[in-house]
Amino acid sequence: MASGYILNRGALIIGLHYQRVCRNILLSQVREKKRWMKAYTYLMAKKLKLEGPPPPKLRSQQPNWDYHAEVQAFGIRLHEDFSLELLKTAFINPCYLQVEQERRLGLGVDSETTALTLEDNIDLSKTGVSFTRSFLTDFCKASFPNLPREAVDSIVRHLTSSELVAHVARNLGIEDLTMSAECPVPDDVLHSTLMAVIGALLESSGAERAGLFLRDFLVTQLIGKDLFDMWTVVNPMGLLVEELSKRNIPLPEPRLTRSGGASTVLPLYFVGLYSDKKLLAQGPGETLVAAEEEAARVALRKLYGYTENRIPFDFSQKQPRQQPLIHSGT
Amino acid sequence: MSSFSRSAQQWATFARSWFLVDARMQPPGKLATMCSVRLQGKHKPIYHALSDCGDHVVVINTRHIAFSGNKWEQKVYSSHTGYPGGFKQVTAAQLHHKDPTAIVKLAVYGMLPKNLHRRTMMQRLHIFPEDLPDDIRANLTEELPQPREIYRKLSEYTQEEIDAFPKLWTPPEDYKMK
Amino acid sequence: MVFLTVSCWIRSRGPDRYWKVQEVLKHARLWITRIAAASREHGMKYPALVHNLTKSSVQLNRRVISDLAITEPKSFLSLAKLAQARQQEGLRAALGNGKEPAGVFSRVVLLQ
Repeated sequence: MASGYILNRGALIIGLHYQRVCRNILLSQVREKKRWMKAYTYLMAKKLKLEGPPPPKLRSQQPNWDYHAEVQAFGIRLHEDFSLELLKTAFINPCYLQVEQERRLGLGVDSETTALTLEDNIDLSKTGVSFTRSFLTDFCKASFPNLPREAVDSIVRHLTSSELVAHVARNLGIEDLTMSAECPVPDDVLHSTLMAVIGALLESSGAERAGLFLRDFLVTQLIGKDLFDMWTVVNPMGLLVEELSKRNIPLPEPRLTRSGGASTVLPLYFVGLYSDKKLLAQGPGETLVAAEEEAARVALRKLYGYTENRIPFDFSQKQPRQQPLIHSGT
Repeated sequence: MSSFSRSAQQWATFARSWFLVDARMQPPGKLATMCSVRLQGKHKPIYHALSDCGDHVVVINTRHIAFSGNKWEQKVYSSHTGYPGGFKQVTAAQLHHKDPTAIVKLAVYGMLPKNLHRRTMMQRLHIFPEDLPDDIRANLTEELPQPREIYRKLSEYTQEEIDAFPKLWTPPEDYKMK
Repeated sequence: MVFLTVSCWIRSRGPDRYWKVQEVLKHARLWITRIAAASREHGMKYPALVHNLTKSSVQLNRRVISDLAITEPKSFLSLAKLAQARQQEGLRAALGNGKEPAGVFSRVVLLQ
């Protein structure tokens, strides 16, 4: 203990001497515990807590951004042949044009010299949306021939819904390329941008490539999706009765097949639907009513061919896409 | 079974089933292995120690369990009350006379894993000395096969059957049957 | 493993093979429990199932089999049936044609 004290004293004295001697010399490097760091990090944490995280910044406003190269790379990344003008047009949203126009006016430059000569993507988007609708409808009808019209419509509506398309667009990296007024690009803008990209693809490489694009990026979102997650059916039993009478099958007769824990708070019932003494479907449920409804849903899935154990989509057929990616030397 | 809705599938997967075991003339140890497997959920492919997937087991007729050998007299159940001189020892017969469910209960309790889930699992074990009440009967899903086949007692055979049974040797006239 | 002294031998943690097996079992214990549960549903025991699957050169590891047991019960059922068939075949082969060598009397004949 005592020796430590003496050592400390010695160090202190040497330090004092050091200061006295080297008062005029600038110390370039101090190897010590950075005691100011704690206060600084504390301050920064407090600031972050008060102000929240800084607003996201567009990639185009950050350094090292070459828009032309990025747009070109977008097409190559997806192995698609876009015409560059169309693709660039597809990324320009009307909201961006409006804001940009106002900004230029606000800067006080006369409007003729700085007139914006850009086109917006409304037309492309319209073609994209109509093509997507028709393609997805045809695809659904081809893969699920038994599905009724409303179900196909709701599947298509799900696949072209703003959130899902925006999700796909974000994962394709369209968010960074989109010219939008607001900085975290809203879902509907992303939706119209992706649709415009599809429109651009349709116009530059034809319907087949655009169809393959849709099949690869939108239809795949159907995988693992339940039919009734997309299509809200309030009364599945009524629908089942309707469908069965259309097909001249005797009406279903619900029967309790299994049950467990009936007098507890966690009961389980299995209800089977029998038609002409043959089991159509059976479904579990918390109550008898819920189980019967579930059984009706299972029967509907079986009727429509949208069961979980159906043959999966075959994406491997008709594959003309193994071309050399980059045309070397051109 | 496929193509259930996700919530229904979940409900059916994690629903607790109720098993019934008839303990008449069964060894308590074998009963307890069956029970402890079901109580822990180790009979399900989705088993995980933390997922609390055990089932209910109802054991009936525990008054009529059967020990082999001389376990009724020799097997000793010990406990300590915590007071000085409070070490109690009773034989299986005495314990069974006092509480006909205790032997099966203790056997199952000893076979469950020694952790905090043990008491919870024991709460899913329902033991009845004779018949089971109606509210429990409503819950049952399945009866488990008995671990041991019950053989007929000699008293249950009729005299004709006994007479018809082939004999290895004919006892002499003055032979005394025990 | 060379131990120059008794104290070294006592301090050694046992054979390497033991610890390698433990390293695998650390993860595989749960899979084994699950496969055992699933195979008992089809009236087989775990060792019989795994042994007979290896004999029929099904090269699935325990993890995959346990996943199959949970998510694809029908595939697992067919695996169990395969193992059962292999087991019966093995038993029949072990019993031979039911004929005993001369002068040998065993239960095989009585079972016929």
